[in-house]
Amino acid sequence: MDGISARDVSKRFRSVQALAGVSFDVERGEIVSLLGPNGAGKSTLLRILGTTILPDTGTVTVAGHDVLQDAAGARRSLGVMIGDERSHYWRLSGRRNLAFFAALAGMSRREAVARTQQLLEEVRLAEAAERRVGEYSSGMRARLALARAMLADPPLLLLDEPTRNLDPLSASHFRRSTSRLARENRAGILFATHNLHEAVAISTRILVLSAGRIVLEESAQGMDADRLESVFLEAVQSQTDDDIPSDEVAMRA
Amino acid sequence: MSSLRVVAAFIRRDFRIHTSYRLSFVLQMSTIFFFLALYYFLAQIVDQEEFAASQDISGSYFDFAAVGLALLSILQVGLSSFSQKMREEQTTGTFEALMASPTSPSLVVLASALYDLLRSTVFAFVLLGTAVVLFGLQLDTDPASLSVAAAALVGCLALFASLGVAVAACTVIFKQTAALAGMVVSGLALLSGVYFPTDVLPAALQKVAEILPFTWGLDVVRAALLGGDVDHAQLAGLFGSAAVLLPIAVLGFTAAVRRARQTGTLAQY
Repeated sequence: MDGISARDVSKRFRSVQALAGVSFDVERGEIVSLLGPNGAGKSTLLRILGTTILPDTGTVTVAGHDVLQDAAGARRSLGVMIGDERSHYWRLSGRRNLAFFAALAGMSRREAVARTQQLLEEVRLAEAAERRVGEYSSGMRARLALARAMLADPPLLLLDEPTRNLDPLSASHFRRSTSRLARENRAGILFATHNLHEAVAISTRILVLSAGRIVLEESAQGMDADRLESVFLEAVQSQTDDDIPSDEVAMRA
Repeated sequence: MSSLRVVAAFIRRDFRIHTSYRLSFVLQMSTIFFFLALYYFLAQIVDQEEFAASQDISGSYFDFAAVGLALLSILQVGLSSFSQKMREEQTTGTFEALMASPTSPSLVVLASALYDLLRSTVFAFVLLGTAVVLFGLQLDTDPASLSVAAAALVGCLALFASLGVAVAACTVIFKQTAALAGMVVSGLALLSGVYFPTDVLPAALQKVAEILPFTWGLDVVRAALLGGDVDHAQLAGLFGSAAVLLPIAVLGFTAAVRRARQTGTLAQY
């Protein structure tokens, strides 16, 4: 399979079961929204797919690469936007941040220069390209993180709440870019969001995660935000007040 | 080719970040003068002839200390820079982004401190140059001696890098390890004869000093630059230690990253 495949993935942080037997696929060319309440395990799941957390059990393949046996191969096929806006070098300009990560992705300087310029224009940061990232707004840093995820033109993208800090204009621009990537480049995109309108607007499929389990998997076709809200609320009833966010548990560890 | 590209990218990144703090650079250079002046005046209370005779070198105590300080400055950076860089990456939130890139963790950790190691080497040369010009340090500039000193320096850099990567592995797991790096630097400075000859140490500590590869490196550099007899067995021992310790340290770092991935603490600080 050239997309993402997760089978029976579980992860436990001390006394908290962050993920329990999660299975799903993301095909090339489709956009899958990952919804769920805080602490449902969305970030843990994205990090396992992105190889920065290892699963306890189960198998995950990314573009055919097993994340345990061939993590480097999986990383080469992935663009990852996980974590917060701090994940840039604030003393460097936006352009130099991208050029640095382009080298890590194996691009030559010539390729990096061209691709960096293209992406800066794509995320509307070309005019601010020479400014230090420390002078950027939250939204600009989020757009830079998005550009970084797309540097190597990966066939698969993992995005953790990519529009959280974007203004409506930038968020709309992001949704158009994401749809185009899936349509024209056949990119497979899995993105976590709390925005139900956004989920129905661009997704081909919707996954709802609650208490570490996938409680709903449904096509987004014909779905509207109101209906999604009602099925979402119904599906997440299973999560109790005792559930602690997995990231928080890991932090305590 | 790709690895060289990654190394060059790290060096460019760190050069730009470092030079963006201009005052820090100026202050660091000015400390050279104060350090040397301190040891220059301290040397006035040491009997130079007796000291030179006891150490089998042609120089004074000031010469002895200046070479030791130059090498110590590289040791400090070599030991602390790898872990400091990892710590900075953790606290600034870039560590997870680096670990999610296709570059291997071992290349990331080795490349991350290269700029600092290069800078500390330049710093050591500036220190020795300042000591020659302002304080009358007399170095043996015979090409053979300089070649031996350069070889010992390369061996020392590899040795320091192995210790530094080992501390960086601890940083990935335990996060706060600045005190560990400080303790190792202070311990090595005490035992290996940076500030004073090891024969003033108690007998038991002298035995420890004799088996430390840093002592061998320091002895070889001093002998080469200050007109003493180079012990080639020490030079071979230095390279042998570095050749064994560096791969072990890199494996340890890779294991530490794997452990952090297992516990989900890679992105934490």
